[in-house]
Amino acid sequence: MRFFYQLSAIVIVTLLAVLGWDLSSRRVSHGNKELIIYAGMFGPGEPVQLLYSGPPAGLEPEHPFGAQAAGHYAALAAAWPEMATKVKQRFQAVFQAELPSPDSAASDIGALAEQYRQLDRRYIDRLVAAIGRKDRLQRLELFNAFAELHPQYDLHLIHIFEQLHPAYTVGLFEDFKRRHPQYAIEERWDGRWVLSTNRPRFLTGSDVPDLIAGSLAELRILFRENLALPLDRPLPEESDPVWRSKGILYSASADGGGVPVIDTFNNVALEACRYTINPRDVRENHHPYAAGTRIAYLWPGLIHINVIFYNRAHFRQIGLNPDSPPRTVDEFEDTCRKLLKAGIEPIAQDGESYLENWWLDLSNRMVGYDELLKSCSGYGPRFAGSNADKRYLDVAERLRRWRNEGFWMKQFSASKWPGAQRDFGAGKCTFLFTGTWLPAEIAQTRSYDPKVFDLSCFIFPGCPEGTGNPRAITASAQGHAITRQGRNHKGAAALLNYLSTYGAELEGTELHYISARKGVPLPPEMAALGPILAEAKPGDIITDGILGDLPMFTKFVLLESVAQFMPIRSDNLTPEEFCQTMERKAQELYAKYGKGM
Amino acid sequence: MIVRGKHPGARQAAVALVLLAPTLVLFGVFMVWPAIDALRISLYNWTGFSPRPEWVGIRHFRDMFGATVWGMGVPFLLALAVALAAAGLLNWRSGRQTEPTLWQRRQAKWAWWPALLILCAWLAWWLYGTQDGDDFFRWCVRNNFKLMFVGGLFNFAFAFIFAAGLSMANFKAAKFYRTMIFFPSFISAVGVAILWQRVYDARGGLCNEMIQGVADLVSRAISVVHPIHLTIEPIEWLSSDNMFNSVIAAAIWSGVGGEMILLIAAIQRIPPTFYEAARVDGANERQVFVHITLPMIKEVILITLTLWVIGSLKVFGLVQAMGIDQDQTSSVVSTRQYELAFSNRDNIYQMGYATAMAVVLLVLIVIFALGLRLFKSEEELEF
Repeated sequence: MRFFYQLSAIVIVTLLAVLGWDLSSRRVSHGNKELIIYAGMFGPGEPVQLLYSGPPAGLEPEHPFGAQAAGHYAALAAAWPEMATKVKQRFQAVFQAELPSPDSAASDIGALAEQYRQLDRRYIDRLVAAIGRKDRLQRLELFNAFAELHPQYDLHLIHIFEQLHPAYTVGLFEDFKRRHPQYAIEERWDGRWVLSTNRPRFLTGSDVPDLIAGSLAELRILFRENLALPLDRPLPEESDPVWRSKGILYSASADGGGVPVIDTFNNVALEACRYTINPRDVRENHHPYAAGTRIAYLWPGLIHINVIFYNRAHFRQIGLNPDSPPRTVDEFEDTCRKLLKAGIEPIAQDGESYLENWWLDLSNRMVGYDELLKSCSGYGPRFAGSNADKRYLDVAERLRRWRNEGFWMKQFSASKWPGAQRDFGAGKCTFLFTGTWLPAEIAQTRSYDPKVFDLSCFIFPGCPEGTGNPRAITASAQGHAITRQGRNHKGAAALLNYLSTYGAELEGTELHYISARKGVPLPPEMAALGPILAEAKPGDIITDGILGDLPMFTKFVLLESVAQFMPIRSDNLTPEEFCQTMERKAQELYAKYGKGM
Repeated sequence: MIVRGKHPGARQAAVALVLLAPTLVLFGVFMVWPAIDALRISLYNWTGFSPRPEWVGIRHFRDMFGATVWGMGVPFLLALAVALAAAGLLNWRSGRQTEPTLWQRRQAKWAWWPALLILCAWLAWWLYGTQDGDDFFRWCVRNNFKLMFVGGLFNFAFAFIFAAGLSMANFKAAKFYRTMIFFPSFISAVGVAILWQRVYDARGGLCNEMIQGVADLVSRAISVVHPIHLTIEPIEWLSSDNMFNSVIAAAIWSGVGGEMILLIAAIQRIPPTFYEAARVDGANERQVFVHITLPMIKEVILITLTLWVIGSLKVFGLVQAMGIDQDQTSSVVSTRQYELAFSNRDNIYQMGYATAMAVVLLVLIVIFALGLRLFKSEEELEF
């Protein structure tokens, strides 16, 4: 028995020690700083995570210019002749070779040298001392010195620093912590299942993230259950006078211009970040706002729009003007036929991803979103039966014709993500209907030969015989929600304010996303969307579409029916059967959960 | 341990309880309580976020099986109750015997068969005889069963053939082949899925390339007499029609090695004297296999089958990573559960309904695992 007691004592002491360490580790690492708990929807190593966090610890480069930057040494030597000898010595120390003459180095030495010449002399001294030294810890020291000595770069600070130090990247969080030393950030990169990961925390109320990243559709459950703070509504319980009277989004923008942060976002982004309170939210979740109210719960970050990407190289190949993509579905059909005649598969498509978007967007153009929403909710014309709107059958028949004519790539039914994306990038197919996140995903994988792959996009073509708005775009927003149970609302808002002010351009230029912030240029692949975004009115923007407004209908009616209609399989439905199946499943859904779900 | 005192048994029990307490507490907190709580959650409508779940009683189970099936469940339940009562009575009587005969023990065990058959009949009727209830869920259960029976048959057949072949004394490269066949068992389910996705790719995947390669060879051979080029239309291995069969093939590829190792271990455990004695008595290879090898490894066969049954009903990673979406033809119960409970892609969080599915899955696993125990021998072989 004695041994048993001793063993038990050892186990208990060990458990207590582990528990004590776990409880104190946060205090040890963050000291007395105010903690902001950030839960991101991207996983470790993804571009957004790297943009926010900076390089992973232990993988930081040793030298600021890296291995392929002889031009930077040459430009630095040219810009500061008195330092040239030292720079050459440093180069020799790093590469064990003579610094190449400027002619054989980078061609834009002159412009680069001019940029180095603009820098403060004190910084140049530090930089020259650093370039020959192997030190993985000097990156942040150099950046902090750079930031301190060059306040004029303010908004573009990180971008310019990274241009002049090609091996170094600086995370937005690192810059935020430099600007706001009172805050520490605990990063949780939970990936796409960020909500599920944090669900126990929401339930227990402990360790709840202060802000949580995701799209409006993904985070909708937080808004429904009143677990997130409304951002454009007064918050009487908060101490900040602006928050109390107007709302968080009316705080001054972080760049010091005095402009309320809400005015720095474009209309599409703001609209796409608004959630309409559902009667069920009020009834079941005791939501404090009236049904029908549209509230911005998501702090805008990026905008995703459903567009058809196309390969301009194929347009040139078949003799079409690459700058004038199809405007109507008939023109789209003609283009597809021309492509088929030229031996090119028109549409890259996986057998499961986003198939429903063809039906949704064609229906939007044909009957209009409001009418479609009514039909899907159960309050409008039906898909089949005596009260049917025949145009739904027209949509299904048109889609079946497209499939029968071979518009979708061969064997698309068996293709799994990212098969279609791969074939599209390889120049095998001309069109790909997806969200504007595509360029960011493509940029991660490989560089494409512009002769075979020249990317641009257009919004879903209009339907001449339809009554839908031909300019309507289905947009979804990605951003951040501030959680009600989070302990540091102030810090969370400060971080978001910083991210949307200082990170917007980087997200556009480095990751090829469309920023929610006004004035940030669109990535070149999506430049054609510029006028559409600039002129879009609230009525032109469909926030998340049916997927967002009626998630139950989408899942249990639309997706299941589409899976039996769009791909090629043995139990495939005819257009009539598809409409009947939609109707049957819709009625089953209404009977089970009620209408408008 | 020396036990003194008036009630040595009680003291011994108390000591045992103290020693077992930590394990019992941990088991209770982390295994028993969650199982009971799962049963509770299955009776609620709950997103998993709200602290206010809505009580719905058995509605989730009714939705799953449908009102008709639910109603028809009453006669089945009555029949089941009668069968269970009869089996219980027989077993109770057999248990009262101080030394029941082999025949009595067998009788007691066979008494459970009617109950099992009634359950299977009800299940088969629900799966194939009705259109009622959650159609998607029914498809998922069918797929689980397909993996269990079809996959299990092939998996066991391959494992048995490999084990028998590799156990032959004169097989020189046995170790090499054993390692090669066992190797896929080391790969995680996601790794297997990604690998097989590439193999099955309709556009340039290994399967179709091999088929076309064979066609090219045949074309070349025929071209000697008549110029021809055979082009095979690529097979869509991952289309909805073929998807689940492709998953089963991948599951067999990754599962056969583990089963084979268990069977090899069992075969090699059999003392060679048994074989020698049989051969001295004039038994041929088939008789040796049927009368010595099979009975001696029967227990291990039952274990491998039980593991396969449990694994095929619980399968998740492989099916999920092979790329399911909204398609019922290629989903299984666990993937559906996950989709309903955790997937934020659709923004639907049906924790209660998904937990009800978990309860049904647990019941199915228990039924089939216990069913397999009915094949257990009554005679204990010791060697």
